[in-house]
Amino acid sequence: MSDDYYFDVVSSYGNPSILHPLEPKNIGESTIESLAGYIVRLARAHHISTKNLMVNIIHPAVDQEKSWADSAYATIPLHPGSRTEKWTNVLNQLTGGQKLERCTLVWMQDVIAPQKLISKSQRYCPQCVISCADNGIELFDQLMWRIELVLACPLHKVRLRTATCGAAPAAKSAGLNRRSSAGHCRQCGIKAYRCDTSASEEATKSEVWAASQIADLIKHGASGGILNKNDFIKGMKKVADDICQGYLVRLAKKCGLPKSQTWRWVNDTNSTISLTALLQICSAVHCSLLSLLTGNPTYEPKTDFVRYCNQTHSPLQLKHVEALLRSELKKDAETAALANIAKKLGVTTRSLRDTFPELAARVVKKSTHDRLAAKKLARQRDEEECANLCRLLLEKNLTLTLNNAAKIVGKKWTKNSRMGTIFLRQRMDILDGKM
Amino acid sequence: MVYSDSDLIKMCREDMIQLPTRSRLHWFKLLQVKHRELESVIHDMAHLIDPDIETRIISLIGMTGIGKTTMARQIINTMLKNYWGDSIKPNDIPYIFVPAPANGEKSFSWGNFYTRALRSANEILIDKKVQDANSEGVSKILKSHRSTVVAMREALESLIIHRNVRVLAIDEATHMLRFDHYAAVMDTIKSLGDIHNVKILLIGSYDLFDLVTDYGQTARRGEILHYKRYHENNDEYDDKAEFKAIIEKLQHKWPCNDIPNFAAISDELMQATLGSVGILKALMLSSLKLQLSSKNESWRPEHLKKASKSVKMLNKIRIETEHGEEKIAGACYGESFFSGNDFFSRISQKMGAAR
Repeated sequence: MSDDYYFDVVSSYGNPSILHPLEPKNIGESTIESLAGYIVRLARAHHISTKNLMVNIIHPAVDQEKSWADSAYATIPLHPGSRTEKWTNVLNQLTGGQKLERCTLVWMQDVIAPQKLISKSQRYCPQCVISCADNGIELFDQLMWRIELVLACPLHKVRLRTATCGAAPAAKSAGLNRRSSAGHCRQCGIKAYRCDTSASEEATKSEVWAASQIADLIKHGASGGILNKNDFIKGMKKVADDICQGYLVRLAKKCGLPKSQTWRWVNDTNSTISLTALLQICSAVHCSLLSLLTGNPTYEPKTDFVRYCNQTHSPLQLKHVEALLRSELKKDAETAALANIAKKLGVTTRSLRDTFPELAARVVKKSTHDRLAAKKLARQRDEEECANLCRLLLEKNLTLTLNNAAKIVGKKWTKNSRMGTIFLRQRMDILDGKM
Repeated sequence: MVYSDSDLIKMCREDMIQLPTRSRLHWFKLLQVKHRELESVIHDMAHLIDPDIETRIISLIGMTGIGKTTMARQIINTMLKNYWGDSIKPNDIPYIFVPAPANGEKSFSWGNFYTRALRSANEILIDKKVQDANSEGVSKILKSHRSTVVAMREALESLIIHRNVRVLAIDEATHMLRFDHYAAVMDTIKSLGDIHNVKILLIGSYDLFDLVTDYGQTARRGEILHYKRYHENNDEYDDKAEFKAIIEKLQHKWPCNDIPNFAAISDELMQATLGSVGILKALMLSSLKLQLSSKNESWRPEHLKKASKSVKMLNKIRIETEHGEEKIAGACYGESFFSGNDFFSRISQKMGAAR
């Protein structure tokens, strides 16, 4: 066809992606956005709810049959594993190739075990979000905040907070659907979680050290790096050579880890290691986490790593938990059992004991004391009631039987019931002339 | 066998002659010729849609059936590809073409318009758009059972930003502006143009002129591109020769063995089509259909009787067009303070002397 002609066929630009080609925040940085936060931003860019994006576009694309539930936001996979790999592949296609695998921990799947790696609660650094909001930067959810072992912000050295509304109950009804806005309180909709006015808690050195180590690791993945099992084995062997004359057993002992497990990590190419164990090794031999995992361990000044309890990241903020425990202690009425308090908070009794050992012990002591006192009081009341009943029966010249007692009380006590037992014991006392 | 458009456009005339009647007719329908007026409009348009040029609203005005819609649908994508191909990313949608809805309502339906615009950009879940209200640091998602107009507007704005939309073309824009409150409509259109420097292209016949010129913002930030027809008595160019060349080009691609000599009656065809290439194309297409359905596919001059427009209809179009041309004269792009022939030559002389 010569230049004098053309055809009336609408030409389009290639094949644009189904979803907007939104770029993830802070690619190549330790503060990279999480995939969960990215999906929320994507839904916002399309002006649809996250639920609709998931149910109508993403779930059919990944062949996920599981229906939408309230916890769906938390079920966006971030952990190392094939499900995350599938999700990132599909989302990369839908958004036109945005390197979304970097927004997850899928790149560490050869080395690090996925169990208990991702926190179930949504957390944030109060100072990071406030500084973003003040500088007009769009708020987003950092991948690092999603890692269970990260308790502190390595930049601001403050403890992360769980995203729980700190506003008064009356203000909470103002929000309608908070799931769709990253960096906003899910309950009241306040930007940068300003509803929580409590002061930032300073993180311990151990928490900051662990967060910094993990931040370096995240930066490696965010820049396109992938963890390789052979590099990790090489790193472990080198550490054993440098510190323990090549003996893995000695290294395991030094790190306080099981010998057989340590042997498996180094010799079984299919085994994966937990992040906690890795931090324990790094802390014991004073080497950086990233250097160990990439096969060239570099040593640094000593930092004591305190192994955290898995339940430390309860869905409520530590301050709120503490305040609740203290209020239980101050109560005039019967103190609730520790198990009931834990159930109310959605955590385990053990996590409460581990996090607040002194307070928890006091709560247990007081609740036991209160419970015993209440029991004693109830028993006294029952004794009194039975004594009155016996007196009444004798006045009416009736024999002290359970049947006669039932005529007055209006209900029959069995001989093994609490009231029946007391009544029969008192009858024996009367017959014996004790009363 | 049924051929798709993409298959047909790859074929030459010789291949085409072997194909069934329907395919040949469709091939000829798809075929367009380039000509002087079209090239001129494309050239001006390419200049005006440059993001660095202040013009925000471009009105493409021309007589009915001249080929404005065809041009807008087909050419602008190619134009964008040629001029800004490097800066356009694979997932960008640089051009959205929206036919303005005329649904018999007493006022213009923005909901309908936004739905069409979002649909033409293949936007997802159009009926599930939610309004995103941020005020005083509190974010709210305003839930609704179906998409509201505000929600769809926000979704369109977001699409313009995220997909780097450069041109939003609204075909039959007169449908939007024929109501009393057209200033409000124009305000809304203008505000769309303010997002991400997107250019608004309004396409319509001469009715559009009154509406856009009454709006002050269009005068300041808009330009009118006149897609002209060919005139028998044009002082500047030899329109007769150009029109004849167009006929020859179309005749050259005639998908039948018996090729009618349209070029011989180019003057008469110019009169019968009022110099409009669009009407000429329709006439030739109708002639082709008649020829293809006749015995041995042979051409007979009688086909022209039915293929051309009736005299009354043609007169009606002529009156409207002449009235429109008269109205639009002096208001179009290029007809500026410096465009008077004598004045321009004086200016040129002055500038030449100064240099």
